[in-house]
Amino acid sequence: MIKLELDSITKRYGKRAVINELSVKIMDNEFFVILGPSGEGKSTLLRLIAGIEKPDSGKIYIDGKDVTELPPNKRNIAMVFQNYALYPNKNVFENIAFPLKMMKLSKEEINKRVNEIAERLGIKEILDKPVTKISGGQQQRVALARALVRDPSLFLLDEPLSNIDPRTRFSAIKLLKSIQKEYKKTFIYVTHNHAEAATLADRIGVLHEGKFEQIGNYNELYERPLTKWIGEFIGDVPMNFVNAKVFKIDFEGEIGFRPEWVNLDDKVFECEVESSEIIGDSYYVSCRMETENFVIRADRKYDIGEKLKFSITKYYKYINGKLASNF
Amino acid sequence: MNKIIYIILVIFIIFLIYPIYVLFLVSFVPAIFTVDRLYPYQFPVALTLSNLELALSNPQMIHAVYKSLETATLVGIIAVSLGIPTAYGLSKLPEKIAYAITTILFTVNMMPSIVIAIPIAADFIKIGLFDTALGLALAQELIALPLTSFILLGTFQSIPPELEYQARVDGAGLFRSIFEVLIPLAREGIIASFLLSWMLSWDEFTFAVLISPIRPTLPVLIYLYTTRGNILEAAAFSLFLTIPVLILTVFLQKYLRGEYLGGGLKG
Repeated sequence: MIKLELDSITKRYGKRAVINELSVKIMDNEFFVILGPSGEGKSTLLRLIAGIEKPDSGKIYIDGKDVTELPPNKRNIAMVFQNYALYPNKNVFENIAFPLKMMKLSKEEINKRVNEIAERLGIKEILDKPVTKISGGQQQRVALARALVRDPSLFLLDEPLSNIDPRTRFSAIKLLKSIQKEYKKTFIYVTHNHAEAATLADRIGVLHEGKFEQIGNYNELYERPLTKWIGEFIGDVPMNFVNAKVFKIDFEGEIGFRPEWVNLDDKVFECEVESSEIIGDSYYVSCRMETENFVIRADRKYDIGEKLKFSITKYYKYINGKLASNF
Repeated sequence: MNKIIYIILVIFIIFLIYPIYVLFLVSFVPAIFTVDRLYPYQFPVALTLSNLELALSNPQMIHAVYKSLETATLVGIIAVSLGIPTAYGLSKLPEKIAYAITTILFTVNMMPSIVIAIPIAADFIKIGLFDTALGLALAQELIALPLTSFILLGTFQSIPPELEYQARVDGAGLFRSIFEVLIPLAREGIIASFLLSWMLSWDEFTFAVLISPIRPTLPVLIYLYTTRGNILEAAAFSLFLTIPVLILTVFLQKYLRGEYLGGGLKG
């Protein structure tokens, strides 16, 4: 079932179209990640879905209903902002209870629901504390609790993990994923961090120049990027794009290959090492061959000027930055 | 070096406090030692409450205090209740445009009050607002409203917009999100603008003397008594004019912070 459908929506700021005729269908119970570097309009897209901003053209459907003209409070969505947007004048309990209060639920019902979710997220002890007096990780849980406490059709999360330290981040990712499984809800999650996207997402939409340049799971994006831009954006080390002629391939364009798609025992090509660095537990060697520069994952550290022999095990052909054909 | 600074400070404070001191002298010392002498005593050689009793038993004075209170409170209420929507609207605009519009609001203040007050007084006679507290309050809004709009604009700008978005997403309509989230967060700015406009009206003179001359406010009454030569009573009245301002200024300090004049972000 389709949960959310964006039908060719455009949003302009001045003359610049931040979102440009973007269309996507997001399924029920899906964990969909909007991935892109800063300034690509990820947050704008989320705000359009939430109804905080209005698209200049196009339609938005939630559960098959056209909500394009509806204000945020009529869309039945929950959202967690990057800065958590906890109401500083209310304590933790009041923050979580706020959406329920807006639904005009009875006091007992509100109490019951807030306590349930607080217990689930491990913040029951701090319910009566002011939100300004709790830690960043706790604030993040409170924001999450406030979103989960009612039963919205959609959860929107705008970089909710960018403000917490790496250690809590890991447990937060685990928590998010288990919550999504447990509550069987549709999550739309914005991030610029491709590792986060890889862990959380069922599908990832890579946002570039106002459109989803590619939608798929992380493996598809990593293994077979549809454009040069995605190849360079996804992964710890960008994909290599070099002139096909250099590798004696008869093709007018570039070939793209990942640094690890090489065989160092098969000594077909030779390049000159320009620098090498360690990322994680691997050596990445920046190499030069004729006019082209590229990076190869190597077995050891190489000295500058040393010759490195290798062959390419897998590549894709690209014309004008777009995937041309398979191997 | 420190000593010099302290000496300068002490001189400065004496300079500021002296007029108030003289006011107390005239109010609490028998007239024969102060206003009735060519060279008044600079120290309280004798104390009396009779000056104050004289002032308090004057029905004109009681009426003036009441009128001033009524007007000032009206000015405060109107300034805040019109200033909040004005500033909220302005805070949604790009900052440059918002401040350009606020500057335009202030242009009324660039004109001498007397130039504006005369036509207003003439028109108020026609519509029955002449010599009323409401009429005077409305005229004084010309000064108070730009100021409160400016302060409240800074206040609203200092509130992260996400808080309002969050309230909307959490199910609050526009008005509920304003009343439940924005106004509580803008509380200090709202109190500050109420107090400032209250004080502005409390000692406002030009509009008051032209729009409400028959049953005057306290500053006008003091002026009338002074010109008639009743300096003793005028001084006692002045005490009543000064004391609330002193108290409110102390209050105001608590709420006057740089942040809503600057519009910076706070978490």
